[in-house]
Amino acid sequence: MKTPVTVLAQGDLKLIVRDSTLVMAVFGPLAITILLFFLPSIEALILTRFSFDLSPFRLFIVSFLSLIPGMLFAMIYGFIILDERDEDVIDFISITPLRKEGYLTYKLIMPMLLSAVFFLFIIYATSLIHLNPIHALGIAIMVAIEAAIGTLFLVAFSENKVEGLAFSKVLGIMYLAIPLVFFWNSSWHWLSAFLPPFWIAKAFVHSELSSIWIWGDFFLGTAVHLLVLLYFLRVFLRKQ
Amino acid sequence: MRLLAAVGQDIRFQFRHGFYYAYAVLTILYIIVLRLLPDAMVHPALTLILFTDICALGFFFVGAIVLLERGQNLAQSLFVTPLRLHEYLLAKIFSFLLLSITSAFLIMLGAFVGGQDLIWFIFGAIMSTLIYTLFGLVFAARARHVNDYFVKALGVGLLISLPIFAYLRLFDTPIFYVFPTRATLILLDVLATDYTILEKLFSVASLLIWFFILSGLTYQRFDKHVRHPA
Repeated sequence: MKTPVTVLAQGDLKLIVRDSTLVMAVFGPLAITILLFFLPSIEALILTRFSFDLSPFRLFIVSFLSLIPGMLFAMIYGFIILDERDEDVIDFISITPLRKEGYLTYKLIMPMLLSAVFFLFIIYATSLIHLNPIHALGIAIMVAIEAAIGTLFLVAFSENKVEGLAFSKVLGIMYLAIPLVFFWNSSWHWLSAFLPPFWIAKAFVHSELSSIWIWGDFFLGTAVHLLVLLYFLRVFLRKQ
Repeated sequence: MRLLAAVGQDIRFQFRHGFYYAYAVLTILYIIVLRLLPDAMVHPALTLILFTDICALGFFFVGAIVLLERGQNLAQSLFVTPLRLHEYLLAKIFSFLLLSITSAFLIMLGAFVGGQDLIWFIFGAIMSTLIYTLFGLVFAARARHVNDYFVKALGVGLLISLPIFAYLRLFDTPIFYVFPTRATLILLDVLATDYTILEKLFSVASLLIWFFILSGLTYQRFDKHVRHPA
């Protein structure tokens, strides 16, 4: 028997394969994995060419780049939803047994799963930093929620795919919180605590230091992620 | 007159869809980042910001605009009016040029960047924006939806951005001089580095040649796939 989810997943897969979106969905994250794989050689090259030691920034580079696949998956699913809304596909689905809620749940769970899996893959396949598996799992949960946040942000505020594109530029600003946590040596960096990636960067730093504060990062970070998610969800549902 | 009206309409469209707000926010952020950077890094950072974002914004956005217009069957209605295809395309290009150049100008003012080679730099920024937008249009003519456009445009976008390695002095080959981006990076970097007059003239020629090639290609593809779709 075909469940609604298999039908939807088949439809998406067809859309993805036919229009080579898969290329982007896999290529982007894969390119980042490959880049990280060569990071030690790049560090060596930069050290010999410019006598600049990049290795103290390794934790920052890894934490920043490991979040990019999540953003890409969020954007891909955001644009699929926007495309389907522009073509009234969502209206058709809303009168099937799946209803709008089922449609949205599915479209949010996919980027969440993909980004969490890719996050763990990047961290452990490149093994550039040693992240405690429990800590990695805690961060992966936040990464997953963040992907849903990204997708919802694009669809909640934009009327069509053109506006979605403008919003996708704004979405990138959220990740500014990561350099702020790493490089702004002042308590003012807490100003960016409302940005979800802030807590992921904090968790990376505290995990490296084996600090007990990491549990605070998980607790507060997940809370911030869920609050932002719920707010965007309300905006999106009110708009439908 | 018709061209002016078309440009005005495209600018209004971009304004209504939040492009100007998005780039106002980004411009301010870029200025803040440039002001915080150590002096030695301001010029390289400015070149990279212009190269990857400000001048490239047409490449990024034009596909979605063309797709949205096609989704609303605008093209069929538009081309029964006296509006000519080249006017339609020029309006797209000029409207993005305005957004790019305004943003680039504000960033340069905000970061106190300038120099005697400014005229080369401005030419480089304008031509780069035009070429990026034309590249976007070439792929937009046949794309089926946004993700489809991005795969095709980004693939080629990454490929033509390879001369960035030469700019970062990591890897260089004479083949890079065929790419329009090698010329772009020379002219955008002209305020920070001393290039020979030959290199500058080469860059200008390269960008002009690419501009004419891409204009022709864009016109041909729009004529075939958008104005007279099968």
